Order: sequence, then structure tokens, then C-alpha cells
Amino acid sequence: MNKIFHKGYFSEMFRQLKVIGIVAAIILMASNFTTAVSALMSFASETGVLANRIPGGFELAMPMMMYVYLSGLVFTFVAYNWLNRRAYSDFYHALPVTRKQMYYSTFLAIIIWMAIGLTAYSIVHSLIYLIFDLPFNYLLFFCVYVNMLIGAIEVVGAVSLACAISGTRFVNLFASIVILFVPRFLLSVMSVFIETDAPYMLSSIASYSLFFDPSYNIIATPYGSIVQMISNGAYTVNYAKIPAMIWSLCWSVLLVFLGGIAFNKRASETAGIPTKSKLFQTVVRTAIGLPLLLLLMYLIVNEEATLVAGVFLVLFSFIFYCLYELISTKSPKKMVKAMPLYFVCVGIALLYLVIPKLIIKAESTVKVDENRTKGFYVLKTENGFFSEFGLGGDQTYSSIKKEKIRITDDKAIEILCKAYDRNVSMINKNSDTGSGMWLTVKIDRTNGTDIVRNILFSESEYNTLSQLLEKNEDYYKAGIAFPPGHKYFFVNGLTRQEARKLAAVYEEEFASLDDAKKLMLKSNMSGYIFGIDSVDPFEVSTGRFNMTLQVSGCVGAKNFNESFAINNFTPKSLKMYIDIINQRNGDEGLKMLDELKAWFETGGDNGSSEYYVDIGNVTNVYFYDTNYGVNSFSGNNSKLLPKDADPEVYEMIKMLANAELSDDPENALQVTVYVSWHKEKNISYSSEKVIYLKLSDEDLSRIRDLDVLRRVNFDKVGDYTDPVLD
Amino acid sequence: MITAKDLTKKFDSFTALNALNCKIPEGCIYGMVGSNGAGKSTLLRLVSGIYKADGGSVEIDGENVYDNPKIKGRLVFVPDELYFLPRASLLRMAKLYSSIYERFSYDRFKELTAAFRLDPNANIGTFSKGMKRQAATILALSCKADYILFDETFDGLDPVMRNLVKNLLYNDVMERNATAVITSHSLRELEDTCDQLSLLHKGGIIFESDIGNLKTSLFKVQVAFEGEYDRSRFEGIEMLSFVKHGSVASIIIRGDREETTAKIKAMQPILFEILPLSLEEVFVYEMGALGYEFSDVLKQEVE
Repeated sequence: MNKIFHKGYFSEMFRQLKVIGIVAAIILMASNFTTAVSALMSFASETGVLANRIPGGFELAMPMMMYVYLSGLVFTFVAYNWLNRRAYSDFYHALPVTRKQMYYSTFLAIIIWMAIGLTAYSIVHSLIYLIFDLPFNYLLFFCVYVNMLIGAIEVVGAVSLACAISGTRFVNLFASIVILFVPRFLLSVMSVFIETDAPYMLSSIASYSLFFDPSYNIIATPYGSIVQMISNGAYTVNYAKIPAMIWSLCWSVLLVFLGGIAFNKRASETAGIPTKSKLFQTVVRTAIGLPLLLLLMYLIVNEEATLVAGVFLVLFSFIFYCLYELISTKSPKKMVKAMPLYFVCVGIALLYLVIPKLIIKAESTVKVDENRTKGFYVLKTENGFFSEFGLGGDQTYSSIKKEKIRITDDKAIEILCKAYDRNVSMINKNSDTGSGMWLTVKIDRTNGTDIVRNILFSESEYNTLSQLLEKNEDYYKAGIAFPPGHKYFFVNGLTRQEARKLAAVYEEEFASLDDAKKLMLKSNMSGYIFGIDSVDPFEVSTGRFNMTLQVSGCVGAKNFNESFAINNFTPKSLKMYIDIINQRNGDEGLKMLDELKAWFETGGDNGSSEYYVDIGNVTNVYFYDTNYGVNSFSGNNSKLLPKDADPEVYEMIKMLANAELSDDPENALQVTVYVSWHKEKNISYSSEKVIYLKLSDEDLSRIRDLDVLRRVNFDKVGDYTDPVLD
Repeated sequence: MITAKDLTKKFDSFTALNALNCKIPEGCIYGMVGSNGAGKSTLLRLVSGIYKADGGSVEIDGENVYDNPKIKGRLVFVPDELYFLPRASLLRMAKLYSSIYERFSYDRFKELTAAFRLDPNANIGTFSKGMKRQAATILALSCKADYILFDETFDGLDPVMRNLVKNLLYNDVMERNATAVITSHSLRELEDTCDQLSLLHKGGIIFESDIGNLKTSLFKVQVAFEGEYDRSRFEGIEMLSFVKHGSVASIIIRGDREETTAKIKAMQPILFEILPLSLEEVFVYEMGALGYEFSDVLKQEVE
């Protein structure tokens, strides 16, 4: 230890970094303030849907990642400030401390300060979530924290290496960026090229995990989310992947170690000299020239390149390339000398046209047939039966369960193999992808290995597969499961405590239902869009109510978010909800309906005013009057001017205004009233009021007959659009 | 003892030290003079382990210095261009030194700050050039190092402070048998400070001697005889210079003073006088004897 650690030097470096360490930690901690405030606001408002969502890995990582980047850079630059000036460098090198001791003691001092910042932030952050009982995945957060600690090692390693091999701040900075980002950037761009070359075919980022998966070496891939976007959701950054953490740690340690070697060899007299290594200067220069050329290659692959774009991109790439050399060396002579080496940039960029094709070709040679396949797992889906994503792209609890189920059904395997073969032949023939649905599957092979592939299935294959899976008991059970364990609940309009109480009732009711009803309660809310023809707004089980119980939680480090419909299948929950809402909104809602009725009665010509009334789950009726003309208001739903309205509309409003609040789901009609502005009365409501009205069978049937949804004066409204929920 | 053997250091195409050899014994004050670029600072940086030699070696007590904390802990180097932590006070710098140098003494530090009348809590950045050098001297001497290396020691110091530094150096050498290596552009500055002096030129030591010897073994004689005479009359006496104006000859002689006096007196001169030589004159003649034009070697110093 003494060979690489000097207690005195360490404590001196720790002292030197004290001010920055404390300031950086305070700044990071202060970002918790935002979390706490938004948590409090959401807590207070009781309507923030996002408050019910457990923060994902990227959201949790963002502030820490920024801290790791910035403080890693600042700490290291400050600690090695002396490396860039001859007099300073001489002073430190005269000290009775070996270079190794200096390097590793400095490294440790920086890492400890960064760890203090990250740990303090993490503790406070966790406490905020704990104190406010906000949805949080502590295991995921811990994984993110570990990732960020590894990231801190990596950033400090990269910047230290950069400082050791270069002698000016300008080159230090560029060298740091190049070391930290360029390798992973080049690999990620390669994966984008692969995806572009073979969309929804065989290639899958997940199948090249070590080199292309942004989960590996997370700190160097904040653009992981871009990869996620480009891969159309087929890929998500995983912060809890142990092999990825180990890989990141190995890479980080390697950087630190390389920095140590470079520092050990570094001569004091190199201070102030951009870099002694011509190779390194070439690498940095090339890295600076590359991005625009890669963009050009991307345009070429997508057949979007034009001559102007090509000339523009090459020209600017060349200018950046030369400018770097000129600024870093301050020598026009060296810049001119470096110009021919620009072709290295061009050469590397051209490789991006070739290598993805070779990789896809190589990938397509892997045989998948019934004899070689033990089974498969569906990891990600495009649409349909499998597709169950909750808020913010979180998986549902069911989908988390499902992706762990190995499908061994012979027929399903046959479909998979057939689709795979067709995908291979599409690649070989270079033919168009055609239409269909894709799945990301992990295929278990008989030789003990597994491969991950994106496979495009034809529509009939996909449907058959869906039906087969529906018949699979494990799959079916996973599809109707209510998440166990600690959960967070959210119901629109209810406080957290009310939602929790309602959830307890709901969970009991849900457990007592038969599987078909359970599936209905879940699939109703699984993202399926109902058309007007398929939903009757007066039908209790479907269109009359649109409330859901949202359940968030986690399975290990994975978050889930799932919605369960509250309707007549769960009458106790429904009644509980109606009672709470009516108690809260009843008076206000009825008052608003009265005002609307009065507005009709006075002719509705009172200047700028705007109302709308929702009936059940699927209808919106706007009432508005504006000085700017009938059609000046643009909206998605039906619109109605009171004075021009069908008299039956007035009848409907009158019936609603005269109705009482309901305490029975069987006769309750969900009505949402919203007055955005009423000029004459000078009132404005900040939020909509949902109320449940008791209507006699006669009134209910009368309103149904009025069918205001269909019979509003379309010709007068002008731009009627189907009142379909969007 | 500091030993440099065939020590070579290059900076790209420029050779700062070219196969330099020297030995600096313990317990002495060793002065180095030379013009800019002669290699004085480079030599000190090699001795203090800042630079790695491109050829040859530099050892202290038989051990290589470069990246050797054991040896480096026994030496302290005050460079010509000083470095202090940003906004640091003397006390903060003392903390740095005490963390690194095992022998750093706060008692000594207190004594020295009092002697130099510097406020240990004041920001060094606000100090004058001379005060900064005093601060660096205080810190270096507080390390109680065996080898004290000073580059341009007296640069910026007023005469009072120069004397103070000199006295402190003497004390360290006398009391602790420390070795001080100091460089200067000013021969006069080193004349009354050093025990040994060397002259560096173009990366090599072209002249090195004990100051006492230097001053006693080289002297100027004014002599006159009846009748004509020339330098052949002084055969057996080593003369570095012989200039005759009329009947009076001025001779620079190297050798034992008493023996030479006896020899000349035996020639029955009508005038005989021994005149003292300044160190600068000694250098002029010694260099001349070695075939160097002193003004080329130490141009600035003469000016």
C-alpha cells in the first residue's frame, strides 16, 4: 500500500479539494430541494399522476450523472492544476513522494470527496421519498448509486489519464472527452447503424451487450436514451445489470491504471506542452473530425444524403479537425502537416457503411430451428396482447412476470423458427421488411447458449402466437395477477390515504372475481382505445366510468405501473369512490351545472365564456360563446353554442342540474363539469369537477334517447370530430 | 555526498547538461555560477529528483534520487520561480510541508517567521517578491533537510535579508552538517558564502574549486628589478598572466604563497608587493588559463 499511497500527500490533496468538495456536495444536495418541493406539491394537489410513478433509472441517475461529470472534471483539474505549469510541476515533483503515491493518493482524495457528495445526496434523496411516502424503488436507487460511484471512478480515471498525457488545459479537456466518450460513442453509433440497416429484423442491441449496450458503462452513455428512442423501445437502459456494473468497474479501473502508468512516465518538463504523443494528438483530432462524417454516413445509409449536405458536413468536419490542431499546438505548420491524416477520419467513417452489414450478415448465419430450440422468452413487444406498458413506459407487473416465462409450446416454437427463417432470408435478399409485428425474444438453444433477436412476425403468426400464449396457463395467470408486496396507489381525485383505503377494498374484490372479469378489469386499462361504436357511455361496466386504480411498485430493481378499472365489477370500490368524490365535489359541481343552465336560459350571449360537460367515459360537449366568432375556437370534440343548440341539449342540462347526488353506482352517471371562464359572472374554475348524479331510470333513458353525442347540431358546429377519447 | 556522473539532460534538441561530473561533499556550501542556459537550474532539478536524467546518474549518498522519496525526504529545493498554493498563507503552506516532510519543525517555522518578521496568517499572494522568497526560505529551512538546494537564492532579497539567509545557512551547515547548494548569477554574492564554487558553461562544469584554496593559491604580485628582465626570469613559478609596464611587472601566480614569495625575494627585487584578488579576478585568470574567455562564460556577471 505504501508504494502507491502516501498518507501525508493524500491528506494534503483532501484538504486542497475541501472547498470544492463541500460546494459540489451542497449543490448536488440542493437538487434534492426540487424533488422535495415537487413531491410536496404533488402531495398537496393530490392530482399529480406522475407522483404515482416510481422514478426510473435515468431520472434517478440524471442529477448524480451531472455531478459525476462536472465534479469529476473539476476535482481532477484542480488536483492536477500543477501539471500544466512548469514551476508548479517542479514544486510537486520535488516533494518526497513517488509519482505512483502522488497519483493514487490524489485519485483516492478525489474519489472520497465525490463519494461523500453522492452518498450525502443519496441519503437525503431516499429520506425525502421515505418521509413523504412517495413511490420509490430503493433497490434501483442503490443500483444507480453504485453505478454512479463506478462512474466517478471512470470519470476521474479518464480525466487523470488525459491530464497525464497532455500538458495544457485545452488539450486536457478534449483528451478527457475523447477518452471518456469516444469509444462508447463509436460503438453506440455502430449499433444505431445496425438498427438502421436491419430494423425489426435480426439485429438487437441486447445481443451485442458488451459493446453496444449502453447499460454497459452507463456513465459514458447518457445517449443511451437516444439509442432507446432509435430502437423504438426495443431497448431500455438497465441500471441494475450486475455484469454491466462489473464491466464498467473493470473499464474504470483500467482507465485509472493507465492514468497511473502515464503519470509515472510523465516528465515534469512536459508541463505546458499540449502533448508529447503524436499518436494521441492524432486520436483526439480524428475524434473531433468524426461526428459530422458519421452523420453523413447515416444520411447515406438512410438514402437522405444530398450533395450540399455532403459538402457541408465534410467541410465543417475538416474545419473542426484543423482548428483543433491549430488551437492546441498554436502552430499553423503543424496544422498543415496534420491535414493529410484527415483521411483517417474518412476511413473510419466509411467503415460504418461496411461493418454493420458484416455484423448483420454474420448474425444471420446463426441457425434457429425446432431441433436447436428449447424454448424462448418474449422480452419486448410492439403491440397487442403482450403490450402492457404503464405510465412513462414502465412495464406492468404482468409483463415483468411474463418475460420470465419460457415458452416451450411446440407450435409457438415452430412459428418462431419460421419467422426467424423468413427474417434471415429477407436479410439475404436485402428485401424490404414488409408489414407485421416484431418481438424481441431470447431464444434458449439446445447447446446451452441463448441469443437475443428482434424478429418480425407476420400478422397471422403474431395472432396465432397470441392465442397460444393466452392458452398458456402461466402466461394467462401472469396477465391477471394483482401485484403483491409493497405498492403505491393512486386514484384520480383521492388523497393518498383515501386511495390506500380504496385499494385495500379493491384488492379484496379483485381477488374474489373470476379470471375473465379480472382480465377485463386489467385489459380495459391496458392502453386499448375504445371506439364510439364499441362503448356505450351509459354502460356501467365500460363507458359510464373512467376511473382507475393505479398501482405502482417494483419487482427487484424493476419498476412497474399498472392500472385497474374501477367499475361495476368492483361495486364496493366504486361506491366508495363515488361517495368520496361526491362529498368533495358535489356542491361545487351542482352549482356549476346551475350556472350553465342559467346561461342557457339567458340566451348564453354574455361575451366570452366556455363550459364543457363530460358524460361518462367517452363524451365531451363544449358550450362556448366568444366575441371572436363561432369557429374561432379549435378543439377536438363537439362544440355547441347555447343559442344555436338543439333544444334537447338544454333539456339535458336541465335534467343534470336538477338531479341529486348519487350514492348508488347502479344509478350514478359520471358528469364532469368545467367552466374555464365566465365573463359576466367573472368566475373561473381552476379545475374540473367530477360528480356522480342520481338519475331516475326515466331520466337516464331520456338522456340516452336524446343522444346528445350524436345529435348535436353538427352542421352549425362545423368542425365536429368523432367524440373519441384520444 | 551528491555525486553526478556523466549527467546528461536534453530538452528536445537542446542539451542542457552534457555528461556533467561533480561531487558535492557533505557539510559544505556549494555555489554554482553560470550564465543563463548554462545548466545550473537543470542540475539542481536533477539533484532534487524533479527531472529524470537522459544519461548518466545523480546520486545522494550512493542512492539514485529520481522518484526516491527516502532520499528526496532528506533534501529540499527552493526553485527560482516559486510556487505557493492559491491564496495560501505561510501557515497553510507549512501544513503542506509538514504533511510531506517528516522532519518539518513547527518550532523552527515559528522561529524563522519571527526572524523574518512575516505574518504566518497573511495571504502569500499579497507578499512582495522578496517576501515570497523569504517565505520559501522559511518553509525550506523548517524542513531541516540534509541537503538544501537554492536556485537564485538571493534574488529579490534586500541586503539585510541576504545576510539573514546566509547566517541561517551557515547555522544549518555548522549545527546539522547540512549541505547547501546554491546558484547565483552574482559571484560576489557567493564569494563570502560558499566553501566551494563551480562554474557551469554550456551544460558542463568547466571549473570547480574550494574557495579558500582558490583565493590563496592564486595571487597577484607586483615586482620590479634593476635592469631588463622578462618572464623567463620567473622560471619554476606557475604564472597565469604576466604583464610588464616599464620596469614593473604584474604577475598572476598560482601556487603556494610563502614558497613563491621566498623564491621571488631571493631574486632581490627592488619592488615586491602581493595584492589580493577578488573572486571575479580569480575566475578571469583561471578561465583564461583554461582557454575560456571569462566574459563569454559569465558575461552577465561581469556586466
